[in-house]
Amino acid sequence: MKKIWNIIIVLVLLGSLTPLALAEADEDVSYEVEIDENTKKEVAVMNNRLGSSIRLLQLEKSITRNIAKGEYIISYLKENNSVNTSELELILIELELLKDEVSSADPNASDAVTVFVDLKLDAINLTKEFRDTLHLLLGNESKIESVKANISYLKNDSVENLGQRIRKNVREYNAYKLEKIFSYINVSDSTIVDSYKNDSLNLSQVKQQIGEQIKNMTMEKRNQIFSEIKQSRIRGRIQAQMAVENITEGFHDRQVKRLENRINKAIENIPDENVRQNVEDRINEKIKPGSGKPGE
Amino acid sequence: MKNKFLMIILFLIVVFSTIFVYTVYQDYVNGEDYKTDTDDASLEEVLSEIDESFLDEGDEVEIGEMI
Repeated sequence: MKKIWNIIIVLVLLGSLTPLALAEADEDVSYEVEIDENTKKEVAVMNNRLGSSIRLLQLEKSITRNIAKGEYIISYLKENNSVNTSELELILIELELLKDEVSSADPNASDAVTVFVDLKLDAINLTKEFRDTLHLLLGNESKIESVKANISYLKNDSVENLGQRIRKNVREYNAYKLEKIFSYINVSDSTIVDSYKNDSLNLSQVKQQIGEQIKNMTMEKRNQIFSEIKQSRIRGRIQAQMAVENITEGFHDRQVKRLENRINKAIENIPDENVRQNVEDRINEKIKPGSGKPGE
Repeated sequence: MKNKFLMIILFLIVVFSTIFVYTVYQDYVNGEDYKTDTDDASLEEVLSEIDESFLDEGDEVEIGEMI
């Protein structure tokens, strides 16, 4: 009898330790990378080439705009202050290298979601690094405000060009979605899709026309459309969730590899030996074991 | 004695199954909005679902500000 009790106690103890072991495993994963809700929403459209291409272009646009702002800030500081801007310049060089990585990323690749999330996290970290360094250099809140006021009117041709490419791709993506919706409601007339594609109808006008058609449908048909569209959206969300879960695995190794490639690009592309060495040292510092999360 | 042992095992099975069923139920309740076949979708619901399918031309990928 005593033996049986001992076995039961051991089993119960083992059972109660299982959740603890699982919780520790979860903690390891969350230490590596945290993916915010916005990013999860962004990758939900990356299950086709157009969606992936749009997200990568949008990331490139954000980085390009930040580089333009960074360049402006540095030239403003050089003119108006006696602060040393060399650290800011090195961060900008790394942002430039990152921009090249984004523009050469393949939207058709099977790991496009992983690449997008990894590069976006790098962009967020470098932007934060620039911002923190700038605030340390300026210190005074009024100086920061005066730079901010000047920067808000900044225009940049590369940003504008990227904006146009994004708009074109978004139209193509939406036209593809429209065709799908029309197939659900059994409309074979392509006039609306064509008008949207060639810019003679905007999206709200198109939605209004779809609304008119759905209004006149039977309740049964309306329910059918509702469930088909919802199912398709949920499928996309599930795919995105699965892709995001895969990202956490091996995040650190991928980041180290990326930083090593970035050093190689710096060696290839930066002619000034001093600058090249400083960029190399900065990136190497992030790779070094015990330097915390790479990129932070 | 054998009966007592079986009773304990049975008791543990009942407890763990209850916990399992409760967890699954909670996941279901907290999960995706669920519409049964008997519910009718309003025009607004259908349009909002359609709306979710499109991308906004002015969408941005946020990476933070430089200043």
